[in-house]
Amino acid sequence: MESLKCSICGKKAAVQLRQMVNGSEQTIWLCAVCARNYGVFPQNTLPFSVIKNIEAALFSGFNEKEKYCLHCGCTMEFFRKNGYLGCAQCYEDLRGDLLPLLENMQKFLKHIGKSPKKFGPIVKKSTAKKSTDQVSLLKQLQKAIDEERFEDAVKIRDQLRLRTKNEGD
Amino acid sequence: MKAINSLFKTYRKHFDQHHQPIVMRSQVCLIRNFLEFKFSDFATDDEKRKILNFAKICTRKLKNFKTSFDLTALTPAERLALQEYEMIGKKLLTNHAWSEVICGSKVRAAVTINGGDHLRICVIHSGLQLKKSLEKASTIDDEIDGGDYAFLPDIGYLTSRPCSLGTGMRAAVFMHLPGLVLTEQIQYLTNAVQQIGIGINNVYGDSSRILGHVFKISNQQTLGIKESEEIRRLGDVVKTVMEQENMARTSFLEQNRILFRDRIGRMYGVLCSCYTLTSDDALEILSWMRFAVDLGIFDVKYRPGIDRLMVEIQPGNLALRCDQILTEEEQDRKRAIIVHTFFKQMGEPRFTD
Repeated sequence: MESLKCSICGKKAAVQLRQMVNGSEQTIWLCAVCARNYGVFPQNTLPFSVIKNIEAALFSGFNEKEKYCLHCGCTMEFFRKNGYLGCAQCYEDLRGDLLPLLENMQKFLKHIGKSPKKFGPIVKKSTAKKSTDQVSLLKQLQKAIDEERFEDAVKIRDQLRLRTKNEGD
Repeated sequence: MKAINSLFKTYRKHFDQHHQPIVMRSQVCLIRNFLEFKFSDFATDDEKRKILNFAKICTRKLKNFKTSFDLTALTPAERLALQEYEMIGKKLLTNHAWSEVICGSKVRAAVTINGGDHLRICVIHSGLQLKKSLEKASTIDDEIDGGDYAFLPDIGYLTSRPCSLGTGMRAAVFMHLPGLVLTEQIQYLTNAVQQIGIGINNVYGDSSRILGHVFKISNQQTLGIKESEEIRRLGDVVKTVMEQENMARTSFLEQNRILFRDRIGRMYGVLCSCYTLTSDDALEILSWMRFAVDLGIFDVKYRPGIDRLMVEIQPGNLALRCDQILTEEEQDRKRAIIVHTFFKQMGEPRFTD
């Protein structure tokens, strides 16, 4: 259908704008990019302020597509749709977008409850500061997990923990 | 006897401990995930298999947790019965690939693997024993903890759903509130409680229909508050609700003294002579009977039996008891037989006036 293409660039239209001008109705189809670039939504001429919200939702959707978790590929869009995240790393990679939601959900944003006995070495974000020895152990651990040698994985983990403890001392 | 039947036999005994009016049981769940793996809901089947194998190694140190069930290997009735005992979530009834539940032999406790999150440690005690449940759950958590948990110091334990982020704790108290329902005050209470960040839902029935007058009052806040503090807060709310319920019961009985006694007598008759009994009717009548026990119309020693019946008359437990899948009519007949036996031994209601 012709009307479903953007009147400016001809791409797939995302917004239909109807305005009553001197008693006659004008309909314009726009793609999301053109609608933003050409400022089709000047606030004072809008018939409904609702459109402003629609626009915000539309473009926030566009931006979100670019943000995703580097470990599992989970996006904010996926989270909004399903209500759950993909992995622990999502809390790091999507933190900027999650914070406003968390503010609504929780009273405070600082954890003060129980902590695990000891944080495993992998929890620390950068491995750069670790000795080469630890990095190789970490790699071995990941390999063991991938190959499902969990007995070995536990042993390597214990070794790693011992080294971290020694460093701490 | 099959392992699952002997497990339920142990659980049935737990009803006898610490039973009290109004509060039925306390439940504390701790949600934990391992850092190395994707969250269970997001993971593929192969990843879930890896999670399960890893979790099994981490949980094998647990003392008194020797019974484990592969949920896929269980029959639908057995899964449903486990859910009716609140050991697993409803979602696992349908989506249970590579999920397992490890059950405690002494306490009513279970560790579910791959049910939304990697681990869900759930402990239930009869009566108002939130602190005890939390302590037990925390001990299990410490025993499993091998430094593999997904945790960030600033936002706490990482969970697949951000509503549990932080402590990862879901504490709940199951309360029997016929007074507040009958005096139509439950809606006011719901609104008031929700405003202070505590959730309240009816356990049986749905959003439009309250069945059995049983409500689950649970914490909503998991970030920025200590587990013990949240438990104390929830406990305070529960105590206030108990006071309100007692007041509501008094006012209901003042206005409906004759009606109440008549109703109990009639319902006792139904329980002793009915040929079939639907699940909805049974829950409703059992609730009235519990109410009557609280008022001394029946001997107090029968209270745990009524609590137990509320679980045993559910479809999954009925099917398990008969060792076959029952049609709805067969269920209703079987349910009637079970309640007959119980209420006949309980004896007739004693009205003092």
